[in-house]
Amino acid sequence: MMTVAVIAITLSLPSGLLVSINNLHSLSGQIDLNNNISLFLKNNVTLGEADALAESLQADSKIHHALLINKQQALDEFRQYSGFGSAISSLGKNPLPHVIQITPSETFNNPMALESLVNELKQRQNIQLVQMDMGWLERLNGILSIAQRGVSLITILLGFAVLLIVSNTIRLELQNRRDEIDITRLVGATRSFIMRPFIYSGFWYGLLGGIFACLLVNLSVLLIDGPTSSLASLYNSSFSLQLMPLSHALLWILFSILLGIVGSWVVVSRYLSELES
Amino acid sequence: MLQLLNVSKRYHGGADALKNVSFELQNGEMAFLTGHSGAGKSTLLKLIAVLERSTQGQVMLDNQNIGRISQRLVPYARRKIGMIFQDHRLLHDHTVFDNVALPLIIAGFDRHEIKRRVRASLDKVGLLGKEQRYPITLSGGEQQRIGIARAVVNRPPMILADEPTGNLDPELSAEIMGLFEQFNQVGVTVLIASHDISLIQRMGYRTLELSQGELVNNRG
Repeated sequence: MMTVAVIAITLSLPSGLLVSINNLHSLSGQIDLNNNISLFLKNNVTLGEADALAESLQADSKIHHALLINKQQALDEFRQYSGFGSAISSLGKNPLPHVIQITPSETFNNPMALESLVNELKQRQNIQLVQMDMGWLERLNGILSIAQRGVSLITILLGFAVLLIVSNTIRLELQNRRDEIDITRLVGATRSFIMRPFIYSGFWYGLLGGIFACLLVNLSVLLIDGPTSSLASLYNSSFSLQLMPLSHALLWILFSILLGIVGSWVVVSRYLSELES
Repeated sequence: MLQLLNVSKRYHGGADALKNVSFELQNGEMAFLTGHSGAGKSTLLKLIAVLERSTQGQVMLDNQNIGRISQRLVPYARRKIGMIFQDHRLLHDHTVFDNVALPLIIAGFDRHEIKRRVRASLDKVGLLGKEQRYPITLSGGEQQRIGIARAVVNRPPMILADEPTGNLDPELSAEIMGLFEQFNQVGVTVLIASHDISLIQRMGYRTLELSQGELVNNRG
């Protein structure tokens, strides 16, 4: 039972991390990216041309909404909010370009698609600059893929740990049942007959350890979900944590069973080989 | 049944446990193996049970050179031999029934057949009615009889006994030897290692005597 607990705790670390990463992924996908793309038009573009461009963009299926902010409006706004009112008045000429603000349609709300949209917009005439701050999103995704790599490494390391835990437990069992093994060998037991009960133990350790690991992770998710949701609601988001998907849970349990079986198999077959030599 | 041809066994370090031993046991024969401690009795029995392998020579059991068979086949060779030990080698956390049933479980008999054969075997050694007892609750003689019941339960063609009466008083010893004679009478080949010379002489069977690893006497 101790062994099962140790396996469960050991495996809950990588599987828990993986669940966290998956949640962060879905969070980064859910964020309304504030991804209003700003198109700064060239200075010589007239209001009529800008209007026409905004309308043609509005017709594009990739674009949910295109809003023209003409240079006069922009200047007025700037004068009002910046506090540079008198300085701007002294300029005589409006230095601001027309700007079209674009909200991409829902289906394009992911970093890859957005980037291709941006590139496409850059090709258009009359557009001086396409600006969108998606650097932080790329950075987040970069961090997440590093974290994923890290989890893979941790999984391998802790997998070895589980292997050792199972081996050690089986070794103790072997020692406790040494006489029994000797006697069954003497009356003609085959290797597989002797190994079978130990392989079964390994299987059960793996199965129970895997199940408890998944329970531990999901329990933790449920415990954290409440505070997370209330935090998210402060940002007007309906984000809530997702539990480990069933397919992942099954894979973890399978992985754990495999470790249990391999761990016991290695120890018992080595023990028997020593006896036979 | 059993044939040894120029068998030698040398352990690591150069000690010769057996030197050029040859003899043959016919089907249904009963014989004693005797000699002082360290004469090589145990080594000889271990070679026959394939617990160890000879350095030279052939150990033929049932026309099979068991000294050279692969490890995978060793269990099947062992099933042809019912082995009995001085210290009984019983499973003390299992009942008498389970102890005797062990060879049958290993050989994969079904439950009904196991029950039938275990009862028959216990009946033969006079322990019927004690199936559910634990070995530790029985006397030394009775424990040895559990060992014998286990050795014969799958009806092997040969019985190998290592000092089966070593810890028993003369009366019990005679009883145990009587059991071996009974098995021998139904055709089982029996080889008993013992240093109880007076008992051996009284019984008057063929005697193989080992001394310092050599077969010095082979009286029929």
